Amino acid sequence: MIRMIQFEFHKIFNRIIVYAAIAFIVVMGVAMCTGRGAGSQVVLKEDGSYLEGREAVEYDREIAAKYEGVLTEEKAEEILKAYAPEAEDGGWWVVNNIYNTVSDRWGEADGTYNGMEIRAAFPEYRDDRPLVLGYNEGWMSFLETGQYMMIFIGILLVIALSPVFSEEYTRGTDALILTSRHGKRRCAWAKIIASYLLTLLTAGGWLLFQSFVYWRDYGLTGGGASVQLNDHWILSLNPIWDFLAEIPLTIPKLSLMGGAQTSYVWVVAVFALVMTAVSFLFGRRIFAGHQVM
Amino acid sequence: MELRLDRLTKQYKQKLAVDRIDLELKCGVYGLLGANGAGKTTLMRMICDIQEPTSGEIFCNGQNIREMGEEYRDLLGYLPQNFGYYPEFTAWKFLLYIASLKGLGREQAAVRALYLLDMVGLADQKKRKIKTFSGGMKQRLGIAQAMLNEPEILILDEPTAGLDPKERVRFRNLISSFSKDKIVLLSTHIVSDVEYIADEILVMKDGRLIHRGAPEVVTKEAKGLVWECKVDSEDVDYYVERYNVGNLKNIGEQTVLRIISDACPCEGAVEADPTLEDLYLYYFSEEESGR
Repeated sequence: MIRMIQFEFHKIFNRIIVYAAIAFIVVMGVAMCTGRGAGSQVVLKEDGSYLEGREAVEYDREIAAKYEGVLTEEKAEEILKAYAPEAEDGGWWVVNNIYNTVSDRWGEADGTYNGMEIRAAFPEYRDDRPLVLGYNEGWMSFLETGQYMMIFIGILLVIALSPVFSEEYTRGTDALILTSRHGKRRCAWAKIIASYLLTLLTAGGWLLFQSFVYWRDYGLTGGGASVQLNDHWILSLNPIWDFLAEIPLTIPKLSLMGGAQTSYVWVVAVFALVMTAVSFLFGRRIFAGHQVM
Repeated sequence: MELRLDRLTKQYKQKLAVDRIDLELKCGVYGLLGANGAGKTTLMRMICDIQEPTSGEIFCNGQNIREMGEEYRDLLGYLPQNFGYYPEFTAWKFLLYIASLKGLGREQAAVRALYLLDMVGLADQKKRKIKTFSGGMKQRLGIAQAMLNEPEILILDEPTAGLDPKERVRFRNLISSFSKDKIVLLSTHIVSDVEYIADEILVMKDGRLIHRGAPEVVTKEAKGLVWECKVDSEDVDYYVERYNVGNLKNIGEQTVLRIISDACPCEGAVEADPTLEDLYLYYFSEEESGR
């Protein structure tokens, strides 16, 4: 069985288009990790100087540590006062993660506190489940990158796995396989297992690599902070967000909702199953329409 | 080893491809002759259990092959008419893959693959990708894969297609040496191939088995039907239009014709000894020429 699985991998990787798809994924992955990693982070210090990269992340984390916990209107006002940039800065809106998070809803155009109640900013807000402030930029970027990457990996799997069964019928090797001892059962299983392994290896492999990159850049802190306070596209892309979102939505809860890598790996795995099934059925159809006399 | 076909039938919508064939095959080489569309490939695919009969059954040593499953496929070697392969695989890798499907162990597969590559004259080409092979080389590789598991039943559909005369001789010798205590069923359009090696000829027409017997016995069926005559070259068209002409040879202003006909085609025609090809033309000239 192991040898058969190896041969199935060999067949999958015999096509140039599969390598092209892998190259595309590598390029996109590197671009995303670079664009959302520590290298993309900038903060404005109180003295007017800027910090970039991991220094900026470290600075953001220090500030977040000071204000970590339940968000109140008073805390929002305090943050806005403490980190308001100088007017002559020309309206530069990147200050630091905590300031930006708060000023999005409670800051006026000139950076002063607008006095809005939390309840007005978040209609779903409940007193028994308050919003939690913290530095979750790393986690959010991690999920956002993963969300796009799993779509790209899905495309790779469509290209790589769709011919797993149908190839045999189009090439005419079906007759050789179906007349061999293990052709009707083990070979089919080898194809299914190889498809799953490829899915898990690509999605899981990417997850491991991405986890390492984001852990190195951002660390693990901030998982308990409210996701709603950090405006990332991941929320707008998550179709179940509108129905299930609650306050506070933390990273573990978001993961359970299907917004995390681990969930996507399985989504892609199911997708791969569908693709192999389609390949099988499509192949059978070709075969049925190609009865030889 | 015995293979028994019991009223085997295959129908595709309106077309009856195989029509109630009863046949017993024991150890030996069987040559299956028939025009295109006679049902040879369908019959072979049913024997290989990759096509389901509309009705009828096949028994191997008394057991229904559909119930035998893996056990039956273990006895089987098959070369399909349009031999499929993986163009990017080398000959060596291809044979190892088929060997793994046939359940051969790693070492056994390597030994057997090497032996067969040598046997079909591809040993020094084993590292080349199949896509770079000529038609004849691919066909030889197909023959090698069919014999990987030392099958007891070898089904070869047009095995000599694409082989040059030297390769055909080599193939015939290979089959002859291999066929001891085995059932070999091969179909071909090259009548001389089966004439040399087949113990028995099976003639199929319109899905039915119309003749079977040893080559010399079957050939005798055409006794009195084959004529040779010398005619003026300008009259050749006249004969070709009216008779089943098996061969023509120009000698100066005249042409020697070999005609297959129930009656003497012309004055001076002499009866010739029939060959299997004559018999083939007698039965299938209409199908082949579309007349």
